[in-house]
Amino acid sequence: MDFSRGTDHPLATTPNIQLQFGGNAMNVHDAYYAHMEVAGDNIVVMISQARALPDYLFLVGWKSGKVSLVGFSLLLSAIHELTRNPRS
Amino acid sequence: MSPQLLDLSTELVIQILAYGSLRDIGACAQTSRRLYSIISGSQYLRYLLRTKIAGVYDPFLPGLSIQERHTVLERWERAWHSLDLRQPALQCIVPRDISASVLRYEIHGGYLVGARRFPVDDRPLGYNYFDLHDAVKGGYPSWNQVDLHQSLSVFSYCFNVEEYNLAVMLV
Repeated sequence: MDFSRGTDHPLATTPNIQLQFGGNAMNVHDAYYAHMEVAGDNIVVMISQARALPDYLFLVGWKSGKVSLVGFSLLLSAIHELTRNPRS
Repeated sequence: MSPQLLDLSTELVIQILAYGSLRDIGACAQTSRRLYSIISGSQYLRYLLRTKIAGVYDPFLPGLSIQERHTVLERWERAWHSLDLRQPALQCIVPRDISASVLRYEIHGGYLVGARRFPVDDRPLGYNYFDLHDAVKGGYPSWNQVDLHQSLSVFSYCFNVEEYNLAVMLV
């Protein structure tokens, strides 16, 4: 949003962007740690979850609204999958 | 026979000397009357020496003449000489209606931003800001208030004021 006015930013085509993983919306309030920083036309969002849940690194083009998941912890994700389906 | 430094035109000598360090240029000025005269007579070289002494770097973006750059540098030097950290440049009083909540301060692009949080559960409520340059000039901060919609449960803020006048909320 526009810092001075608190309204939608004039350069952003989609002022409200939802972060998703596997078709599910991310609930940041469940995260252990979340941090974001603006890097030019992108926002880097790091979301770290408690215990065996995966960590995510999103790159959000704040002007275009394009969201890319550029990385998440594979090891922790695998543990997460195992704990979800212990027999598989 | 290769040309000697002093056989080159004054403009070329100035260009070559401009690559030297403060010490190199000073040493060259002491080696001959011609080099001394070139260095002391070149506004560009004198400006370069002065920036090196002041420890500042000028990328020479277009828009200012060397004379104007000299004036800006002199103003910068005077500001540093007269800086006294014991004397407050600005007294910042938080208005009563803002102080009801907890403020966490950050500085972004010349703005002092106070992120307001609800004292009970630390929930972000919005932010207040003022322009530090204007406040120091006027001697009084003029706070602006941005309230977030009550339905938003904000987790974190980040700002990029200097480039895009952008505020980002993670909800």
